[in-house]
This record gives sequence, structure tokens and C-alpha cells, in this order.
Amino acid sequence: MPDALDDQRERLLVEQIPRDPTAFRNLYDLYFGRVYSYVAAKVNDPLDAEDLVSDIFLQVVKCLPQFKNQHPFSFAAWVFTIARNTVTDFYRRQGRTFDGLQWETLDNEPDGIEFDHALIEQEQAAELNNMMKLLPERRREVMLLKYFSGLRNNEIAQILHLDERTVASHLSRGLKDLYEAYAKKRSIERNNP
Amino acid sequence: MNPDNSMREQALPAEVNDMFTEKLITAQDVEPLLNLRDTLIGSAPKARAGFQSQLALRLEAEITQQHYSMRRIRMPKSLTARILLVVVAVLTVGVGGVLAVNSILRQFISYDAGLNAAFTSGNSVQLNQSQTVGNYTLNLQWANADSNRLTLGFTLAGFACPVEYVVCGIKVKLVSQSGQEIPMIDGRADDSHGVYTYLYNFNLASRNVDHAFRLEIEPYGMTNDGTDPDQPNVIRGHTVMLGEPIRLDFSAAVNNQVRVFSTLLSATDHDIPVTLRRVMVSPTQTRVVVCFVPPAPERSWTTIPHLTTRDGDVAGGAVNYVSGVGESSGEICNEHLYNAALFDYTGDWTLEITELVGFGKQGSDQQRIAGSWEFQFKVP
Repeated sequence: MPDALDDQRERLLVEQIPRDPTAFRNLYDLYFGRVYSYVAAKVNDPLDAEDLVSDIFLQVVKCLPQFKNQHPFSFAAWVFTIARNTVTDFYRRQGRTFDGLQWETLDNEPDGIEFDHALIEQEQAAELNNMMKLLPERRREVMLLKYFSGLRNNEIAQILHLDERTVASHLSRGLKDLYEAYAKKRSIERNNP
Repeated sequence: MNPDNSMREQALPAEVNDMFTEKLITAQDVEPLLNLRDTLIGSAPKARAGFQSQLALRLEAEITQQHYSMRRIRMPKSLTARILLVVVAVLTVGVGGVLAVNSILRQFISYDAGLNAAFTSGNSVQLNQSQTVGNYTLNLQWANADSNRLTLGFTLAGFACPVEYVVCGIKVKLVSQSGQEIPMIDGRADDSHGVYTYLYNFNLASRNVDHAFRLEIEPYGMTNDGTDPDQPNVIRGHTVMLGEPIRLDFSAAVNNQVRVFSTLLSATDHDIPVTLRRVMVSPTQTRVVVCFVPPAPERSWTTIPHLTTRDGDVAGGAVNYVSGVGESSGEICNEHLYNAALFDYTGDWTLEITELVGFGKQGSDQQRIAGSWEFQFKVP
């Protein structure tokens, strides 16, 4: 996990970019996979994800001087604030916020048969991804930033304007929700082989 | 927490620990929960192969553009001809032979279709020249030069960032035999294998250079001088050179073959005419120059191009501003760089500009004009 030294190192890498173009590649390689995973999990279509990831990194390049001089966040929090805003704008342009079903909570989850039907013959990873979509919006966002993008709790708190304790609570509750949903699904499979 | 017999007790994530503390789970849930957590992390969507490097090329072009802008503002000093080319080792090209470069360098070359073609065909130069100064040894392994760019692959051994510096790097300078500094286009670096490996491209277009060059590098470290008292979020640092410059004289024959197509082909969309001015094809790189009168001159404008041949899309399109072309008429010109091996291509070309982007002073302030400005042509 990143630490305070990473924050300082990243800030200094940003300052080096005008003098040493290879410095940006180091930052980019650190962030590409993390940003892509976050965006792809939110938009579903890989082509949309590529467009959005391109837009995000172009904005990062163009706005680097702002980060250097003004931004109070860590570099990671700053990049993911841009990423989150870009995805939000994408949905706003399309006149929707998200597929409605994706904001169903686990408390309102489909009954066992439908649940089983939706997940049948999928690998464990894909199952978890689908279960993630059933989490409440805020909780899912916290978990994406944590587990797909590797952010620290304080960085997630900065991005989502939450208290760090609230972030920790979302993580533990979200993980528990997934754990229980997964166990329930296995139970259904055992009872309906 | 102390879940009994947990093999992973030392590495328990905070949220799992919280769950146990809050009695949301029992000790026997810990291991399966950790497995589920690992699976979740591993299920993150991955990008298709090639997308990361394609986007990197585009972004490096943006960085280069900013880099060039700074250079113009700073008015770089021209070097005198005081440099004596003392050690010049002219090495022959092993046509058809296998060139030996380190694996990282080979990987860097493979990311670039133009360079990869030069490498695999044997039309590049294996140099393997070394120069040691103090603790550092510069090894210039590989070079390729044509009328658009000179590419150098080299390593730096003995270079470890001292703990008192937060970031280390190198300053790189390339000088021709006549003392002319050759501007850098972009570069790649890797330090994951105990030795620093670099691949740098330098801009040879419109430069009359001979085969002799001098490469000069200087390792540096960046200090952390603490935060600015007036701006607590700004960390102060300064550059400290970590030893004497390492200079290496070498020779790499420049392949001057080039196909040039000068044109005034024009296309209009949104009442904005865009002109294709020039196409220049060298063995490892194709450049196209497009010009237009920007609708808002106070902004910094970039064109988004797509170049296709009968074989499909050509990857790349990094942009340079071209100064001195069309400036009197209020036009601005962008030169797009495609690192592709198209010198022998004789069919139809299509260049489509799909967007004009005008950047304001704030990066998020963009005026974007989507459209289609299409040019079809053949390069003689």
C-alpha cells in the first residue's frame, strides 16, 4: 500500500515532468491499471471505458500544474477525483445516472431462483462483480476505489467527501454483504444442483 | 483481533479486523473472507492488450508538447563547436544478424512499430560503447537514425538513488558534430532490474546532421526540503547533480531516405477549413502536418487525427506544434507523429481529423469541436 513517502515521491515526479519526460511514464504505469479497472467496472462497455480512460489521463496531463501548485489531495486522490467526475459527466451526457438495477440493495435482492439464474455458470470473479452491482451506490463506490484501485481509506474519504470512519464502515459492511450473498448463492446451488 | 490459528494473522486488513471486532464475523469466517477479498481484488477488469501502450504514446506526445513549449520560452542556448569528437567508434551494421540488447530495451523497441522493423531487419546499429565516470557506467547499446528521428538505447549502471533524495533521474543531452543540440522528442525508462535502461528519441527532422554525435547524461537527485510555509500542500525540493556529466562520442549513420508529399488539400467542417500541408515518411516514422485558423486564438489548439492505410489504422498520432508555418495568416499547425514502418507503403492513405480541442489556461477548460475533416491521398 502507498505511504506518505509515495505521496512526496509522486509530487516530485510531477515537478520533474517538464525537465524529464520519462517521469510521467513512471506515474502513468503506476496508475493506468488502477484507473482502467475503476472505470471499466462503472461503465460496462470496454469501448466506453477506453474513451473515458483516455479522457481522464489527458486531463491529468493538462492539469498537472494545478495539482503541483494548488491541490491538497494526494496524487492518487486527485487522479481519482478526475476519474470519478469524468464518469459522472459521461452518464450525465447520456441522460442517466446508472442502470437502475445496479442500485438495488442486497436487502432488496432478487429471490433465490432469479439470483441463481443471473449467475449460473459464471466464474467466481464474475459472480463477485455481479454481486458488487447489488451493493448500495456509496458502498460499491468505496469498494471499487479500495479493491480495484488500491486507494487508502483517507484518499477515498477525500474523493467521496466522507469521514474516514465511514469509509472503514462501508468496507467492512460491504465485504460482509458480499460474503453473505456469496454464501447464500452457494447454498442455493447445493440445494438445486 | 486474534482469530485462532490464522496463518494470515499478521496481514489482516483493517476492514476484516473491524468486522471481527464488531462481531460481524467469527474466527472461522476469517480465512474464507480473506479468500473472497483476494478474489474480488483479482476480478478487477483488465484493459485489452496494447491499449496501455497506445494511450501512453498519445500522452507522451502531450507531455512532449508541453516540454517543447517550455524550451521555446526559455530560448535554449546554442552550444559552441568546442566539443571535440575524440573517441569515435564507427561500428558496422550486422545486416540480417541478431542484435543483442538487454531485454528491457528490446521490449521498449517492440512497443514502437517503426523501430521494431528497423531492429528486426538489421537496419540499426549495435554500438555497445561504454564510458565510466565515478561510480556510473553509461553503456550505449543501440542506435537507429533516419531523417525524422535518432533513437538511442542505453543503460546506466552503478546508479542508485541515495536515501536522502526522494526522486532521482538523469538529464540527457544530444549534440551533433557541429555543436547543434538535437531536441528530445520523448523517452522511456525502467529501473526494475537493478540497472537503469533508457530509450530516447531525438528530433532529426529538418536538421542537417552528420553521423557523429555526443551523448551527455547527468544523474540528479531531488531533495525534499519540506513544505512551503505559505502553501502547506506544496513540497519544496531542489535538484542536486550526483556526479560529473558522462559524455560518450559515437557514430550512427543517418538513413536519409525520405518520401515527402507537399500538398494544400483542404477539408471543411463547422465552417472551419483544415489544410493538410505535408506528409513526410521515413523508415521508422511518418509525420503529417495539418493547419487551420483556430476559432478562439487565445486557446492552445490540438487536432485529433486518425491515419489509415489499406492495412488498417496506424497507431500513434502524437502531436507537435510546428512553428513558423502559417503563422502570418493566423493559422496554427500541428505535426502528428506515427512511429510506423510505412516507407515502402505505396497505396492510398486517409487522414481524418475528428476533433479540434482548444485548451484554456485551466486544464479542465476545453473547447472541443467534433467533426470530420478527411484527406485522401497517395504519397509519391
